[in-house]
Amino acid sequence: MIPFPSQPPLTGEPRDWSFPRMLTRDLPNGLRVTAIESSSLPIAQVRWVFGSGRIHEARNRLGSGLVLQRAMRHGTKNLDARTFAERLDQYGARMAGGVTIDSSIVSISGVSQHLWTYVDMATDVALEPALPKIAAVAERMKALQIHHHEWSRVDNIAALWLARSLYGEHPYGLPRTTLAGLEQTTVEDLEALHHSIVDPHRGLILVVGKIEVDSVVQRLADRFGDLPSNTTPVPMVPTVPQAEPKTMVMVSVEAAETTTIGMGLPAVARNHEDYTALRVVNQVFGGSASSRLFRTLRDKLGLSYGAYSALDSGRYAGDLTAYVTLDPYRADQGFSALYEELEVMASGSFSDAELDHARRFLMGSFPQRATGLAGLSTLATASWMHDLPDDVWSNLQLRVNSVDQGQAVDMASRWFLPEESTWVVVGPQHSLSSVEARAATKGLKIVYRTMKDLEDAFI
Amino acid sequence: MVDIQQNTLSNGLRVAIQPDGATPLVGVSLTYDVGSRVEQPGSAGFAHLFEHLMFQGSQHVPSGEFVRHIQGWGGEVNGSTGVERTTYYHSLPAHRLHLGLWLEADRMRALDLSVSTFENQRKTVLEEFRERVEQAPYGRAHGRITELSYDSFGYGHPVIGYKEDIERASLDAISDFHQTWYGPENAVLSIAGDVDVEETIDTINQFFGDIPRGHQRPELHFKNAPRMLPKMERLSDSQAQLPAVFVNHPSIPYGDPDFFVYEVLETLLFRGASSRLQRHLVTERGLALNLRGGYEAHRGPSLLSMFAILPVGAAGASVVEAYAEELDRLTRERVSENEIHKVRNQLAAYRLFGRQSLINRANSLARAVLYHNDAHFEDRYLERLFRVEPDDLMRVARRDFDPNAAVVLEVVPS
Repeated sequence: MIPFPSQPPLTGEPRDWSFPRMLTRDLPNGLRVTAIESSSLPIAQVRWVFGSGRIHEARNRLGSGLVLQRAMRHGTKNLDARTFAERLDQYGARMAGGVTIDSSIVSISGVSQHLWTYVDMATDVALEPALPKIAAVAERMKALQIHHHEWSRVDNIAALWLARSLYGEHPYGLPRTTLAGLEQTTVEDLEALHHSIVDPHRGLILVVGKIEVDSVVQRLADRFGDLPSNTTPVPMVPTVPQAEPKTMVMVSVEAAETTTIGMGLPAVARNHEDYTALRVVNQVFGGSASSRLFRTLRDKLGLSYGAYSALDSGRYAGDLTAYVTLDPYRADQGFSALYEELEVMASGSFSDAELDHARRFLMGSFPQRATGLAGLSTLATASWMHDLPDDVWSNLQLRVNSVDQGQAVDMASRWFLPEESTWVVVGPQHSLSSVEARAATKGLKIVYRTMKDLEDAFI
Repeated sequence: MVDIQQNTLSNGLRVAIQPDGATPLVGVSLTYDVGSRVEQPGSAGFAHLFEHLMFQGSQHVPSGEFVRHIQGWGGEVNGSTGVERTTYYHSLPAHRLHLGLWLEADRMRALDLSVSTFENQRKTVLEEFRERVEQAPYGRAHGRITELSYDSFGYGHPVIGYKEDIERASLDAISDFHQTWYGPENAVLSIAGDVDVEETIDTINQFFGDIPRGHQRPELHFKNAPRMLPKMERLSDSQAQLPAVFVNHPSIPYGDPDFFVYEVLETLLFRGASSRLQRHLVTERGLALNLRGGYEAHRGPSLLSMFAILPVGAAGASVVEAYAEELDRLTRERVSENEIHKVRNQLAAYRLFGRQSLINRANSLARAVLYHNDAHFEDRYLERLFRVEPDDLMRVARRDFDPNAAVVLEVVPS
């Protein structure tokens, strides 16, 4: 019998893989039509995307986007809520969607045999939701419960304050909901918001699945080529104000069983030339369970259940954030470990092996991201939303592979800047005090805030 | 029908392979027949703690390197502990399948259990406990409803265990746990994806074939059905913003002829916007803001469970009553052909969605072997579901849905 090898077996050549066939056409009314032929399974998804969302919310109506997203499930002008739900389930279909700052999405997935029924239904929801008053009231009440839940959890509070600290009055710094905004939201607000969002000039209709792309694109073009455009402009988006660097916002939550520490840095928009290289460097830092943060804070120090960072790049700006949630009595250790890891990145003291690992992770995981309806829809949506080059996905692995040590160190030294970092700590007071003592040695300016401060900013 | 290969190595390791070359990827699942149900008082949470230790190094793989090896090729990797089983799964590019098998074999044959990694993972699990139980809304309630719903300790405690048991756990006890439950004869290795079956079986034989069997395992004795006494309890939760209610009824285990009837009942009651409970309790009557539940099948006592989050100030009684009415309706009114047709469509589509992930497929294959001793169980799943008729639903409802047998836990925010 052949003995068990003492080294990992790494023979074998990669098998051929290419990004599935994607066909796109821009119609005269501005609507983009895209189809992707994928999946050996007989399933398909249709997705409507509009390139704006909560950015249209008035500051005293923060939360109306969430209510709209939920109210759109209550039927259309052509089908009442009950009939719509019944029909969706009759076809074994699923509907999903959401309203973010930059986009609004409605998608329906199911067996590909019924694709054109899903197109009809998704179009009905996206363009002609019923938005009945009774549903608006009910969903506003549910949104209020979501608000109370989100504003009571330490990890959510940390994320809210970190966004506020990084972006200030920029739309990316606004909370998804405020109490006052939700309480004042009316069905008329929902109708106005929906009207502002739906515009073929800022729209994409996408079909993914076991389909024939040429005929699908043609049929979608025939069907939606004469959709009228909308005259509502997208509000002017202010430039991101300079965040006050080296600030640590402390929020005391006495009943909390855990403390969350968040760190944020300004980064790049999705279509910035540094995006891919920065993504690779973030992978070294905290992108997965084999990145530095997880290995240090969980595997080596046993401080937390997880520790990750994220490069979140929107249409207008981006940020790099890292979070750790842990025992309040060990919060000071968590802060020190996170800060030290940031310093390691800034100094470029990560190894060639770590960089190689990060590149291989991003290249190897891509075929998995590009498999399945949800993954492909997300990629195609990003492509359109951020006006990415046509070859963005077919060349992604090549571009990741070209990020060398020199470029990675340069990226880290330009973007992973401890002296520009913004921090948030949320937990019981004793944990804040312990972190404060260590933060002082790093020259961080401490500011105490409450959730009422956040709420008051929008009244 | 997909050509699934199933065999058993001489040391008892069961193997199931489902080739599919649609994408150059593989999903691998190694499922050990050990879950929280084997734990005894004083060792609650060992199975889950052990899941963490499995990533802390083996003879040829230093601590933390398992994940690095898999993620170094872009793979997804994780573990999951349940009542019935502990599963380790990963995905990889197909040409790195041997790497994944080698990693799994190395930790099956020679896990490195050191004091330092043990202490480190004990701390990590305690952090997980803090995040998922102590800090999470309804976290403690999920544990409490489990305790109330079973009369045996094995099923009647939370999978994550108890903090004091994790704090008291010793390395010796954990080592013994490993030797007892982590032998090849107590595991199923399943693979789905772009594989050459013959070559893969050869590699599995090479990597796993000489691993010795584990220690003698204790026999597990669980009654076929829980002797659930009707109970009602109220629990105060400082992390919850909204009241909630859990309602559990006894159900039937895997292998029961009515298993598929419950699968249909689950969808009819809980799944989709037009499901009975969603429509009547959430959308139309507004009794619950959010409601979920389903058939929790085990090899021992099993449940039909329901969990609802209620509006501010609402009492659980109205939801409990409305839920009982819906169950009672099933005993009185025959489900229409139209409704059962809808449920069949839903189940067929959900099945297809689930098959998009090779990890899901490998895990399903493992469960099919472990619980049904049939790697082809999934192939026949829909066909058997479609044989369930309205009369079956009424018969089972009349037999099982005793309104006086429910366990109810109300959660009140504090």
